[in-house]
Amino acid sequence: MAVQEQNAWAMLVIGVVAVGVYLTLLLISLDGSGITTVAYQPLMLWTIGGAIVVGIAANILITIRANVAGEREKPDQRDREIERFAVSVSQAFLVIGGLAALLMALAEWEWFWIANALYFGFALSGILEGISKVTAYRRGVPW
Amino acid sequence: MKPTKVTNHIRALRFAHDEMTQAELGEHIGMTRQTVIAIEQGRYAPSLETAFLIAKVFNVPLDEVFQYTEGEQP
Repeated sequence: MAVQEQNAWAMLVIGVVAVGVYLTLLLISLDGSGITTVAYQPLMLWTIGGAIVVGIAANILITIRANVAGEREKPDQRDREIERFAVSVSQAFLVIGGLAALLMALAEWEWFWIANALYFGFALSGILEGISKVTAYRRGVPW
Repeated sequence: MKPTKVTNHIRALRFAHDEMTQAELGEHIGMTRQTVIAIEQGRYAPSLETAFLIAKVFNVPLDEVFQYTEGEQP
């Protein structure tokens, strides 16, 4: 498996775990007074920060392992095409999240919903990018 | 489902050329071994330039390496 594909798998798994952890902690914090009263900010920031740190560590480990095994290869045309394809697919969620947050702000919704719309826009975009990359590496770019 | 209708004889040509490995072909055309595997298996259609490079490596015309088939994949 190419280094780029391993990185795509790592990012996908980390993205799914990060969202799962955030949702679990959010639901555990519910105390019956409504979800918007939960102190979501530290949960969100810690899961985002944690995902970034684990993502960087995974990238470093994958690169070191590939170097030791002599498998490190420069990304080629196919890697760049897959990257472009995955980014173009995943951008839809960024737009949806941004638009949802904009509409919520215009309607003067609580900050909880606006922050979470943006968070899930970014998170789902990252997950979709990972799924697109892994699928493209396994089955090919559909063009 | 394969994403490309372009089929090829790269595997046969590699064996006919001193059993050239996928990594060696990759080095000749500036691609990774994984990309050569993907091209061989019909999961990736290379650019025209890469296709010509592959044909040049085997010293054969382009249509001896790649074919375009509308029907069922081999």
